[in-house]
Amino acid sequence: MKLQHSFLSVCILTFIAGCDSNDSPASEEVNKDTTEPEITLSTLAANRSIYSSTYSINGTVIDNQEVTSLQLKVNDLTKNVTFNGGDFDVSFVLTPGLNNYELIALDAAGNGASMTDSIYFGQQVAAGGAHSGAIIDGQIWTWGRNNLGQTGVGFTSKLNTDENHPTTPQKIEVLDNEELVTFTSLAFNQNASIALDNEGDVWAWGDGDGGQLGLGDQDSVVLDVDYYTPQKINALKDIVSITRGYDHTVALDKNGQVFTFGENDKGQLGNSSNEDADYPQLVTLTNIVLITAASDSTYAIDSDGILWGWGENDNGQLGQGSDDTNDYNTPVQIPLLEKVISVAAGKAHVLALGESGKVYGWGLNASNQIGNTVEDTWPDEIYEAVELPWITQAKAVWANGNQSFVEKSDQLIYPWGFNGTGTLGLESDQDPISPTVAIAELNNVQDIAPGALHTIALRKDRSIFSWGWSFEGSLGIKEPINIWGYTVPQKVEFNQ
Amino acid sequence: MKSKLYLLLNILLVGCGGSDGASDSVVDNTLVLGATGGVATVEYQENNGFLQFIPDLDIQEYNGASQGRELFIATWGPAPGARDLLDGYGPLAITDSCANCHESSSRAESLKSDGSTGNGILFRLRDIEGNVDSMLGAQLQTYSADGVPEGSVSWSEGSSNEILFHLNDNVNALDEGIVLAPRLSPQLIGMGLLDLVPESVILEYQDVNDTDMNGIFGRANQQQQCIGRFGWKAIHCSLDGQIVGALQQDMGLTSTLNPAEPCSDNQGICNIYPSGGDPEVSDKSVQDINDFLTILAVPERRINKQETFLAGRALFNSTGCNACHRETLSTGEVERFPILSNQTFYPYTDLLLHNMGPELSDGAKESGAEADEWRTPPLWGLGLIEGDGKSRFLHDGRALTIEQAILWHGGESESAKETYSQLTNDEKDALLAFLRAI
Ligand code: HEC
Ligand code: HEC
Repeated sequence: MKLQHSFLSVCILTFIAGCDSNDSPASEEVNKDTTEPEITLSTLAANRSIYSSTYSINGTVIDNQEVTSLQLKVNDLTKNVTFNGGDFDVSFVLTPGLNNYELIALDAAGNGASMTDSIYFGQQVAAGGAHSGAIIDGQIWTWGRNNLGQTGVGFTSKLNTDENHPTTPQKIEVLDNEELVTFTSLAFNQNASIALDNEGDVWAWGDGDGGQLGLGDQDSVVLDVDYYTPQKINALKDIVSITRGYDHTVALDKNGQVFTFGENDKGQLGNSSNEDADYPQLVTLTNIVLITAASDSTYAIDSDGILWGWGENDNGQLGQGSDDTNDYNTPVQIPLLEKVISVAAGKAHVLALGESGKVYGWGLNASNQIGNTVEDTWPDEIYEAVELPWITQAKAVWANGNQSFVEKSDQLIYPWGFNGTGTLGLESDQDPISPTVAIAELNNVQDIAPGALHTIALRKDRSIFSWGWSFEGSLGIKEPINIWGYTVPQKVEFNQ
Repeated sequence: MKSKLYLLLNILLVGCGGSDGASDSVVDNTLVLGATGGVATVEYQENNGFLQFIPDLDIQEYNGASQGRELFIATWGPAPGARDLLDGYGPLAITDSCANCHESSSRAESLKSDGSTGNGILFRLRDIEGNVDSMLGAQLQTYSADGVPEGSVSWSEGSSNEILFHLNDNVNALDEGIVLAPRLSPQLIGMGLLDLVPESVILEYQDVNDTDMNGIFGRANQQQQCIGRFGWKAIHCSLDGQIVGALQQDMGLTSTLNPAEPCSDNQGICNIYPSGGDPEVSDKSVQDINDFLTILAVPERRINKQETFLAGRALFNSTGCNACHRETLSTGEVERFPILSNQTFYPYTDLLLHNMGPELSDGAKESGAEADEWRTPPLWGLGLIEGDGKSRFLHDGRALTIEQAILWHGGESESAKETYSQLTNDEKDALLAFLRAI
């Protein structure tokens, strides 16, 4: 706000100077530089979701004379940005939820230019086994399968027998000390649900198996109770990011530390143990910026762009050059040829997005979820990261189950892998072997949540679409055909 | 933006070209036609050519099309079924899915090589005055829940290559004078566009008394409050009417508009089998199917050689084909899908009935159309299915190729056929190339 004012005054000054020069056409006045610098950003995020706590922007700043300063203002912090021959490249730390940022350039004559953009840190939509959710204006809405209370509506229910089953989106209002809680991020997978609020607290509900709701004490008994409404996990605080495997949960705090809880048979908690835990376990990694999870493995990117993984390696999903049934219960580094800026994992396959925009994949490839050639030369399991030749300049990757999604530079979503239940949103029953056909008309996507067999997408106009496997109301639409694959994305209506 | 401008330009050019066939004998090689379906035009894709949505339509504006697609391709089952929404099939019906008769890139198989008939052809039961069979009703249902269908139909070729149909396995003989009136199942493209043509546009070409004395009459099939436009005899005024008609007669599914099962008063079976709800198909489902069919796009032309194409088009017009196969129609204002408003498109039909002569007569009057009267069918997309091994042409599938279809033309179209027959081989080739491209 303050900055807006100073910028305004620059404008007014320029304007007055302009008037002066008209009145008295002294030559040095006429030559006065009135041209503003020009800032160009290579990418505009425009509210889209990312899952990393740091965000890098780059672009150019030019002026007819000389740019004297470039400042970045983000979440009320201001910092000077260095620029080299006009090029700049700067990263900054995000706070969960929406981050507005502004770049301000000044030239020697005091002409100013500014450019604003915004980016969302967190998942605004979520899809689990067959339940789904979205955050709208800070409030959680859920729908779909509710046999274990995973929608959080306060009871368990079935589509065919219970009138109040959440077939269409229900608003879940959560109170903390009698105050309405505002949420920033969701993580659903299988039959459990996790949400992050704007105080850094984490809430959990649904299937409590293996302690994956993190609601237990530090005792030897694992609490595996199901909860039908969101419960605050008291043992976590200052959390900035959350994610889920099939039976375990992962949280990242603002200091870059990773906490895990839930099932641990494969070492997916990364705490040098194989005991399930209902209480957050600290993983021995530091400076982590992004977390994600496959079914029984966990992944983390650190601030140097190095990718770490732990847990199951049965299909080579830890990218170590081989598969084995060892339980990797402490993090191992996953070799990659460049810095990683994002990573997505399905049941047992992984996609890593490099800073160059290239995408690498490894792990299970039985449904060609990593990719294949027409000649079928790619194996069913891939043991170390391979570059996917169909993708350059990717903007984002997503995965779950045996399916993959990439946003390419044309800003369309290209899916591949398992498509038996309409999961990929393509007019085809085939499993595409590579990301070469985009989901028709699904442009301007800000966030995607692939579930086990269905998918939810949020678009820039805030509309939400669903497609894929319709089971117990997973798609959130009226009069759904149950046990049915929907091919064409369908708009989900929210009745406020 | 660019493409829209291009489209506009094309429409303007077409306007200048004029659509009056006879005067079009000089080929204008600079002529560029507008897109086949206006904004609802899409590049043809081999596998799902008739299943593609309007490219410029944002998914925000699909309305119920996603659900409609599923209802269209779904296999419906008898009630009570595992899926509430999809039950109620039968007890009398022909087949359990729209998609069994309307395929995504072909016409469904009709006259099979073993002499039996497939889903791609069904039979109305009428006499020359339009009476229906007192026992079996207005349409032959070849499926029955009790395992005793109304009958089955086989076919053979007659002495002059016409198709003869034979009713088999029927418990009851047909009433005196009632015939098997065959209806081939067409591919469904541009249904929404045709639905959205204002009646006034259809009436522009009506010429009941042949006032221009060109031998072509053209009569709107006036129904109670509207003009029929769908089906070989233009018996349904609207897409909704066509959909609920198909649900009832082809699939045994009731709707608000057609609340009865397809039983005649003399058939008890519909009272015995459980109903799938009242109605079995909700208004929303009908609307969803309508939305789906409405936003299916028309494949763009496939032109090999522009010169031949234009020469073929000129011959199509000078031969008099365009007197019935009207090149363009246009939509009016469309509230539900604004993008479809005021679109000019190229179906090559006037949606009117014409007397096609005794050889094409089916001996049955239906909903205002005489036995020898047929609605001009759209010609777009025919080249995509010709020769694919199962698609056939004309109302009873007697033609295997587009050219055979032309040579069966009689009645009002007799002279056009004659003129066609007298064309040189090159000219015929050009005309056929044009037809295969549109
Ligand atoms: C048993 C095969 C069969 C089934 C099932 C069937 N149709 Fe048809 N359809 C036909 C035939 C045959 C015609 C031509 C009818 C006529 O001439 O009166 C037709 C005509 C149509 C037309 C009009 C085409 C035109 O060019 O005028 C539409 C639209 C249509 N059907 C939609 C549907 C829908 C929607 C369903 C499912 C609810 C469906 N059909 C089910 C065989 C079938
Ligand atoms: C008097 C109106 C009229 C004229 C003139 C006319 N047609 Fe037709 N055409 C029809 C009608 C009506 C049918 C459907 C007849 C039937 O199925 O029994 C038809 C059917 C067709 C078909 C088959 C369509 C299908 O879906 O199976 C083709 C191809 C065709 N016409 C091409 C032509 C060509 C080429 C000419 C010019 C040589 C021509 N028509 C002239 C009215 C006309």
